[in-house]
Amino acid sequence: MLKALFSERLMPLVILVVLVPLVAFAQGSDADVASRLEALTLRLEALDRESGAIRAEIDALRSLVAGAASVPADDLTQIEGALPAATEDLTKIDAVPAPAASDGSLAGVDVIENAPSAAVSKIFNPDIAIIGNVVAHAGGDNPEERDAIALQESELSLEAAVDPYAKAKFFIGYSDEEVAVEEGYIQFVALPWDLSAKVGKMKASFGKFNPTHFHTWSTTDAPLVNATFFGEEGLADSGVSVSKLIPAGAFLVEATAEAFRGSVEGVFEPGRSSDLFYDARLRAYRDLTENSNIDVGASFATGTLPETGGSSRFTGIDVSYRWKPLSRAIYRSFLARGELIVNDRDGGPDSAVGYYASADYQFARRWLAGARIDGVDRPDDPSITDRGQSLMLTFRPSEFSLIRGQYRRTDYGDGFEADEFLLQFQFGIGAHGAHPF
Amino acid sequence: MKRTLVLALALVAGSVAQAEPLNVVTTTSDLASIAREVGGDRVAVESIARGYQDPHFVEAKPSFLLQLRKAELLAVVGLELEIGWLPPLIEQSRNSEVRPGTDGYLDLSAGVEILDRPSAKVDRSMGDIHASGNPHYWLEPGNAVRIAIQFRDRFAKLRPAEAPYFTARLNEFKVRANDANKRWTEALAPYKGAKIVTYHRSWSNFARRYGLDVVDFVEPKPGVPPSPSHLFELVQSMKEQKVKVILVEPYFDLKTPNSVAQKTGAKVIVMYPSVGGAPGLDDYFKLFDRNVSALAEGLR
Ligand SMILES: [Zn+2]
Repeated sequence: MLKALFSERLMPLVILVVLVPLVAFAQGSDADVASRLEALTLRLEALDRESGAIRAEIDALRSLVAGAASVPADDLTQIEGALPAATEDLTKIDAVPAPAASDGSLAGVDVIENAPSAAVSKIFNPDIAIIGNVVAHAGGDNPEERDAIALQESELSLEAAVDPYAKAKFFIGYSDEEVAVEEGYIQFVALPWDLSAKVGKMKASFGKFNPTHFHTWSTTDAPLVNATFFGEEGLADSGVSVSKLIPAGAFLVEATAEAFRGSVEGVFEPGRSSDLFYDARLRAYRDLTENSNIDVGASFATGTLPETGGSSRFTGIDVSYRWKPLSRAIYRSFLARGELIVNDRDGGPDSAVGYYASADYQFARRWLAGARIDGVDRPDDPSITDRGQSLMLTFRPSEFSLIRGQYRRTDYGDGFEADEFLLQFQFGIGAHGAHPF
Repeated sequence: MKRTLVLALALVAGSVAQAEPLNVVTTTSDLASIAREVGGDRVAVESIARGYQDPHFVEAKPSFLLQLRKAELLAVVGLELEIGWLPPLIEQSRNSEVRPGTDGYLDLSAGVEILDRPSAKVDRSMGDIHASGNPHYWLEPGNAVRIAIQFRDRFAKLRPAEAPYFTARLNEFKVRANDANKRWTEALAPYKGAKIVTYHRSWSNFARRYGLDVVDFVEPKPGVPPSPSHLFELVQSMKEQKVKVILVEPYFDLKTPNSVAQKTGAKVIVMYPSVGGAPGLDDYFKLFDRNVSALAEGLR
C-alpha cells in the first residue's frame, strides 16, 4: 500500500486533492468542500480500477479549473455527473430514451457497453459465400458444343484474417465437370511503405477483366480477347505479387509486379523450372467529379510458349470511365470500358491483336442494359479474326441475385457465324460480400 | 493570490506541446460532425460518405484510399452498415493502423443504445436486413453524446497530452446537446404518440426518443423495392390508423411514397438522416433543427 502511494497511479489523487479546494474556491463557496472531497475520493477509488479512464477524468477537472470563467458554477455538478464510470447512471440511461414528458435531460447519459453480438462467436470461422451461376444457351452454330443449360462455373469463397499481418482467401470454382482452386492465397496487409503482397495461386493483375471473378461481370461470358489469349481460366498461376500505392497529386497510382511458376494452360508452359512468367501493371485512377472517375492502366506479361519454348509477350492498355450520381446511387450508374491487348510470339508471323469495348447503363433501381463489341486475332494465325457483338439486359431482384439475358452474335474468322441467346441466373448465399467496384 | 495560482495551473495544463492534429477518417458525415465537436482543432476529420448519399451503398472508390492511408483513426458506425464497401477499402489502404482490433479503429456501435436487434433467426428472405441491430442509432441525441464520449476516450488514448482539451469540449458538447434536446423535445411534445410511416427503418432511435410511433415502412425488406401487395396493405393500414406523415430519406425516389401519400392523404416529408444531406445542414445540431421543425410542421 505504501509502495503504491508513490506509484504513478496515485498522482491523479494528489492532483485532485490540490485541485478540489481550488475549484471550490473559484466557485466562491466552500461550504461542502469536506463532503465533496470525501465523495470524490471514494469515486476515485472506483475510478482507479479502470486505469484507462482515470487520467482523462482528472484532466477534465483540471481543464474545468482552467476554463472556470466560461463554465457556469451551477453546471459543475452536472458535468461531474455526466462523467463516465458511475454505474448507477446506467439505469438512468434506460429511462432517458423513454418517451420523455420530464426534462429528458442528457446529463446522466453514459456509454452502453454492448455485449458482443452473436456474430462475434463465429469470429474464428472464415466468411463463407457461395455464388451459383446457371447459364442456358440457345441457337448458334457454335464450334464448341455447349449444353442447353448447365450449372456453369460457380464459386465458393472463404476468407479470414490469418493473424494481424495477413489475410487468407480461397476461391474454389466448381462446374459440372470439375472442381478447382481458382485462387488461394495469403495477402500481407501490414507491410510498410504502402506495399501489399500476395503469395499463392491467383489471377494475374493484367488489365481490367482478367483479375475479376465472373459474378462481377456485366456479361455472361468473357470477351473473345480474354478467352482466346488467356483461356477459360484466365491468366492465373501460383506465384508472388507485390503492389504499391503511389499518391501523385490528384491521381492514385498503383504499381504491381508479379512472378509466377510459369504454367497457364495453352498460354505459357515452362521448358525449365526457371522459366517463370512475369506480369507488371501500372494503373492511374482519378476522380473527375464527385460522381465520375477515370481509371487507366497499362499491363505487360511475358512467359514461355508451350511446344516451341520461345517467348510470348502480352501488352495491354485499358480505360474505364464510371459515373454514379451520389444522391441517386441506387438508381443510376454508367460504366464504359475498353481494353486492347497485343500478343507477340517468338517465331510468330505477326502480332495478334484483341480488344473489347463495353458500356453498361443502370436505368432503374434493379435494371441494367449493356452492349459490348469484341474481337481477336487468333494467335497461331493472326490473319484470322473473330468478332463479336453482344447486347445484355440484367434484372437484379435484390443485391443477392440476378437474371441476365445476352444476345451474342459472333463472326468467326474461318467462316462460321453464330447467333446465340444466353440466359443466366446467378445467386449468392452466405457472407455479405463487398459490392463490386 | 489564489486566483493567480489557478491561472498558473491553467497555464501549466495548457502548455502541453502542440502536436500535429490527429488524422481522423469517419465513414459517415454524422460521425465526422461529432468528432469535430469533441476534437476541435486538435483533430482533422474527413468523412468518406457524403450526407446525401445512402450509407449502405457507398462505392469503394480508390480515391478513398488516399484518405485512409494516412488516417490515424478510422471511426465506423458498425452493425454491418458499411459491410458492402469498407472492408476492401481498409484492406487496400495498406494502413495497418486502422484495421479492426487496433486502437486506430473505433466501432461506435459498441457504446450506444441499439434498437431492433432481431430476437429470432434472420435470413435474407427478409431482404438485406441489419442482422445485428439498427445501425441508424446516431439519430438520437443521447446516442450522439455516447458517440462523443467514445470519441473523447479514443482521442485521449491516441493523444494523451490533449486529453483535458477533449474532455472540456466533450462537456461543452453535452451541455449544448442537452439544451438542444430540450428544445427539440418541446417542439415535438404536442405530437407524442403520433403514428408515422418511414421509408427505411432509419428512424427507430429518433422515434423512441420523441415518443413517435412508427407503424410501418414503405420498404419493409431493405434493398428490395416494395411489392404491390405491401403497398396496398400499407395504404389500408395508414388510412385506418390515420397516419399523417411518411418520412423519406433524400436518396430514395419519391415516386412510391408520393403515390402512397396521394391515396392516404398523408404528407411526404424528406427527413435528412445525415449531416450535409442538404445545403446548410452543416452539423448535428442544424440537422436536428431542420428535421424536427419539418416534422413538427408536417404533424401539425
Ligand atoms: Zn439501414
